[in-house]
Amino acid sequence: MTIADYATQLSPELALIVGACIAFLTGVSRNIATRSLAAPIAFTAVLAAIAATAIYGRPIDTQLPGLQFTTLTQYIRWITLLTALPLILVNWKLPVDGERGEFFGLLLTSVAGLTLTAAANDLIVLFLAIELVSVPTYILVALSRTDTRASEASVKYFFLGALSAAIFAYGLSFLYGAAGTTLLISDTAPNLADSFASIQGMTLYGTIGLLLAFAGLSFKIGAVPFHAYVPDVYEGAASPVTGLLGFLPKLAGFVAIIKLLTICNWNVPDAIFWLIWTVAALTMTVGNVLALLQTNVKRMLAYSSVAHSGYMLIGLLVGPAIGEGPMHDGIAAMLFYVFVYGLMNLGAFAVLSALSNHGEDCETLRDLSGLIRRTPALAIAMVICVFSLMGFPPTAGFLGKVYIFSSAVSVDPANTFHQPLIILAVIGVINSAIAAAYYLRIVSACVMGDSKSEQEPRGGAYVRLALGACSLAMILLFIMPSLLANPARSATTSLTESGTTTLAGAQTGGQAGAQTGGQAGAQTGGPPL
Amino acid sequence: MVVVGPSKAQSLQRYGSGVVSGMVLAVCRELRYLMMAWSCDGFERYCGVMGESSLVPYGAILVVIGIAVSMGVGALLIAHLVRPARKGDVKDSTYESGMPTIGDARQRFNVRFYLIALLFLLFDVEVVFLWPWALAFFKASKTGEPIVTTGGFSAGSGTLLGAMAVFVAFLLVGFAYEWRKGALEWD
Amino acid sequence: MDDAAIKTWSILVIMGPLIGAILAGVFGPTVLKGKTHFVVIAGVALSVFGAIMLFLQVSGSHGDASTTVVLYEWIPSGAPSWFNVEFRVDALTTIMLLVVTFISLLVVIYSRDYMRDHGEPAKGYERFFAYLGLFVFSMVTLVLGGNFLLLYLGWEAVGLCSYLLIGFYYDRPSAAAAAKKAFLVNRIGDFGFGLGIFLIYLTVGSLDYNTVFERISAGVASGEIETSRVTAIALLLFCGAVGKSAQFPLYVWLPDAMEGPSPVSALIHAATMVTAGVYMISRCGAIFVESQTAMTIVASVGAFTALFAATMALVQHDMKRILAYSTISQLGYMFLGLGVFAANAAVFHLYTHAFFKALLFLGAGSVMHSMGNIIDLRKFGGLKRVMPWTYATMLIGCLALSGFPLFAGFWSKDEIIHAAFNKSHFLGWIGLITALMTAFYTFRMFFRAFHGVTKIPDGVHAHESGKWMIAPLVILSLGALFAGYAGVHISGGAFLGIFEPHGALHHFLDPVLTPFSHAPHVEMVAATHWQLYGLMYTSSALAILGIVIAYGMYVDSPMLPKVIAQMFPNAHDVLYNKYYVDEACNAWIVEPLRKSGRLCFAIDKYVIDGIVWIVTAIPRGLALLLRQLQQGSLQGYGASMVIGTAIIMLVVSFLSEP
Repeated sequence: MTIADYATQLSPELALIVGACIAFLTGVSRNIATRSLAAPIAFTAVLAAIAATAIYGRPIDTQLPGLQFTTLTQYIRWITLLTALPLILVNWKLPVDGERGEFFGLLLTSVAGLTLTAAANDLIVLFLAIELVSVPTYILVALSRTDTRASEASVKYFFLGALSAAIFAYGLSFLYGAAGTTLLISDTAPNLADSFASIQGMTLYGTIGLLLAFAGLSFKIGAVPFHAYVPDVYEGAASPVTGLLGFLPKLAGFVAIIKLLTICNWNVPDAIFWLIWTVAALTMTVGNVLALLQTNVKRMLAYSSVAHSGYMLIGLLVGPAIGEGPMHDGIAAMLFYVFVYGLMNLGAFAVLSALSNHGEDCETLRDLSGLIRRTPALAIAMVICVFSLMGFPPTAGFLGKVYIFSSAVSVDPANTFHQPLIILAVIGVINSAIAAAYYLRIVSACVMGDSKSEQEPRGGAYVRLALGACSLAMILLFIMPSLLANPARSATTSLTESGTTTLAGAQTGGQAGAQTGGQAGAQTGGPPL
Repeated sequence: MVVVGPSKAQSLQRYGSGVVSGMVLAVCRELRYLMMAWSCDGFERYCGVMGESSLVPYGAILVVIGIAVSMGVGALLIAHLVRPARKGDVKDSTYESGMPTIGDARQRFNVRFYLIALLFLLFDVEVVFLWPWALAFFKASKTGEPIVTTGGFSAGSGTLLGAMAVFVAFLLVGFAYEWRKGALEWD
Repeated sequence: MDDAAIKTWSILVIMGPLIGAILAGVFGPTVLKGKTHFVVIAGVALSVFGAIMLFLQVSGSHGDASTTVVLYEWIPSGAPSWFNVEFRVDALTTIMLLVVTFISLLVVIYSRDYMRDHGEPAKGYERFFAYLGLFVFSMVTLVLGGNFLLLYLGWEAVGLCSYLLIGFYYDRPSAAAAAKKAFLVNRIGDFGFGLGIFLIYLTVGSLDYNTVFERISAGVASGEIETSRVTAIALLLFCGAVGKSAQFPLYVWLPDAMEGPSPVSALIHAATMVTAGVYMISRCGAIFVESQTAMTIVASVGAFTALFAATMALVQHDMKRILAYSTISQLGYMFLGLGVFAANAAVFHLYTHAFFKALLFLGAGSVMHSMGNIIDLRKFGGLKRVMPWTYATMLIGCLALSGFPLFAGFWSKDEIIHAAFNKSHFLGWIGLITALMTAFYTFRMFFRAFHGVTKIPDGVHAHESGKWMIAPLVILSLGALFAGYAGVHISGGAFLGIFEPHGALHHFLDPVLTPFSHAPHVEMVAATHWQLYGLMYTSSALAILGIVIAYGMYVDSPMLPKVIAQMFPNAHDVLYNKYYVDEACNAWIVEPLRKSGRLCFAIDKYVIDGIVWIVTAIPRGLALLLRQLQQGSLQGYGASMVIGTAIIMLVVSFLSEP
């Protein structure tokens, strides 16, 4: 293995980073024409990264130190880069002159961090990659607007993010302590996956490490009780950046959780199962319930973002069922959903970005009132995206929810966790119904509201192009879900060694008689008292 | 929208008791485990069935921490015990190199101090990466053999030099950026 | 058959109109404007081309009755897939596709002029073409779909397009009301249709045509599936057909649907969409023939509707309404044909009817365009000289509709009546009587519009229509003249010494419609020479008689109709008011429903809303409670995170307590 392996395997990330460097340098140019080049450069860099992924990015057996390129990596790369294109388009006109270079440089860095997260095979790389995603987003929030709200949101986001990173790192240190290595998976060297292959292998320290890491990542995905920052930050940032916040850190968090659960071979102590179960149920409920009270669309979508993390956690809890496809494979369902969510969320925020009300940003339901009479195209796009968020056919959001819930109810009835997962799916369905109440308020404001509000389109063709792409993707993925479902199905193949298994399933399937594996594990691994 | 500030500091106090009790409980439990494990023969068991993995080497760190804490606390404690206590306005005032004190110590510093400190820290930390690279490069160029890591990655001295060139290039981009941005100017 | 080619051409057939519609909808208002028709015409033309290629594929293959090409699996869910996006291509499909796309093409071309006022594009010009493209897309989806789900998708989509196009002039209250009526009445039928599809899935566990038909045939043969269940399925499906194809008692929407622009009436409410029910039953022959009851009901409803609608058409004054009732009546013929196991005759009639009825509606539209949107026969007349092209083409259309010998309608209608006679003389006589009435009311309309003294409404500049409108009329009149010859032998027959029924079209369709010809319950009476050819002469005579009576009453002695109307005032009133069906519906169905609706509304407002308020109070109360935690303070958030972590740690450590 030589440097050439690095260069080819990491070529998409290199393209992004080099693009980021160039963007940074154009940002300090004295020539205004050069300064305004940042957005095209970023767009080109993402296109180059896509090309590199298409040419070099295939899963390989050999590992590079700290990195592993699996089908999951490929999937995450594709969906990240494909979402990055509309992301850049939506943000195209946002940063003021003098901040464009920084803005798009940081955006590219964050995207590169996300693809690196998917490739990480080492706790340290994982941590660094996650922070590479997060730290730029703190700054992007501050850059997005010139008023104090954005600064306040940025400061809050930064401090809480730092706290969560500390918790995450603390958890990783426990994992290292328990296994004596930071390597996640390897055929030869000592690694975490071997150490945690069975519940007995996972000591109390391992459990605590996993818990703390999960807690730290819960911040990234906006799960309860780490969700409190979400509405404030979403509201404070400008709409185009908010659309980004719903995708990059969230996906990074989910990918990291998948990585951590993979090293346990989806076979975790009861306590962790119930923890994630509770967090999922609370996240859905709290998110949706609090969204009911909002009149500010951005805040509403922020709480909806929290709720959607809850739905995705269901898929995570079901775990992979290799080769079954998203109807039964929770991870494939989640991977499907996260991409769809990224696009529909971005689409909704893109509509907000594409409008101004007397020069002010459009944020409240009142601002959107009667949109269909003024700009029907934007109103239709908004309706498509909101229907998708609501999980209503004919949009991809509907299939996403179908996949998630059907994977939850299709767990083997012999499984200990069959019943709880069905209950969780029911909670999810009830929550979808509650959610319809506030999503429909957006729709009714756009379609049926009086047209007293005087929205003006702004942002030019770029935002509209991105918006069109997002809404078309919602329809297209409903008509041909296999475009995304098949890659999602193959993305889970690398997640377990033993074929079909579920987070819950490994307990009954993998270990005969160990029904209360968590307690058994603690008994053998913990200290005598 | 509520702004950041001490106006809500009472919420911290409200939660504070919960946090403290929770953390204290957790810490106590950990200490209890540790002490028990240490005292009896079960330390290996406590550390789990991880084979080579063991927390034994970290015992020394615990000792160091203990000594450090006891020295700090001890010094203050001894000083408190042995010093004569004479109260007075002058005696109680803050000592500031013999000058009369001006205002409160808790005042705002110019943000540039932080900026400079941050930049110093950044470039200082980069040197940490240069050090092991220099060792590896020295070895590779001296022996002519490529360096092979545990992960199976092999690199000759040329590759190493190239890698460092890339590293420094990235660093230079940051340096050029901060220079042009005016971060190094005081005014 | 070459699967790859079939796939390619099928996609072309489907995507052509869709892309045209999308382009018209997206770029129409801003870029294309008055040229919007080009994209839709091009899209539909592609579709016609694809349909012709498919037809060549099917006709070129010998032996393969049908082929199903799977485009892709809709929801990948491991094996076996439960729903594919797939096309079924066979003789029936290709005939339907040719008819649908070809008529659509002519109608779209015709609309280019029709949708203009004095050469300027009318309001909603782009919208109109986008809807038309969407309709063609939906209709070909309905026809091509290889399973019941796609059929249902197309079924609902054409319903939606029909709704949109009936209500095209939405600022006109009558149009809005008609659109609503069409939609609601169709809902009733579609409700049954949906239930039928559910029942199919419950019975055989699949929605794929091939699987369903095989399993139902086998299941009935082996006794696994009870006949009563098949009857239920068939009747529920028929319920959908009754709604969509405007059969008694759900026909009431079709006359009102004439509020839409005339090209729409021609395309959707005469030639294509309303025949979807006929197509569906022909397609599901394997299900229907297993139930004698269902077939009898189909035949009876068809025969009754044919007669019933014809009587109503006798006294109407609105040209388009007369044609609407005649459409209902002709659809009744088709169902009669299906019910007496003569599916090929029904499809044959569907095919000829599409030409001449589209022609008649477009002709009526031409008159209407010229008369400044007036279509009441009492307000104009004697247009023969003013609109010679329209006159000539309408004459051909009317002759075809009235079953005049050697015109398209004659061959197909006669075949259905013949099949009905084979089954039951009663049904046969109904068919013959209706044929007489058809000839009469058709020419009553024709003579009043074109013959006699020229009468033009005040302030209207009467003129012949432009070439974009005349060209489709001419082409369609050729169809009305010659389309019937696809269904007859031209040599060695006994009718007039030349013609023999059951021609090339029938042979082409036979492999698909085997369930009907091989049905277990068919007791075909061996046709005697007299029955076979005598009937042809009889119905020719009846058609000519009807035309002569109409001539006598409306050209020769124009006072006669009034005298007759005064002689039988009650009968005339009943017919003129369409048997008071709308009024009866209003009094017996709509009003009670409205009253109960008010009651429901009150219950909803005071009881249900109350309960809902209480139920939703839980999340709202929860929200108010949780809101207290969300106070925007950084320290508070940090504290909640740390507390959360601490709680998690504690809970887990205590859960893992040895």
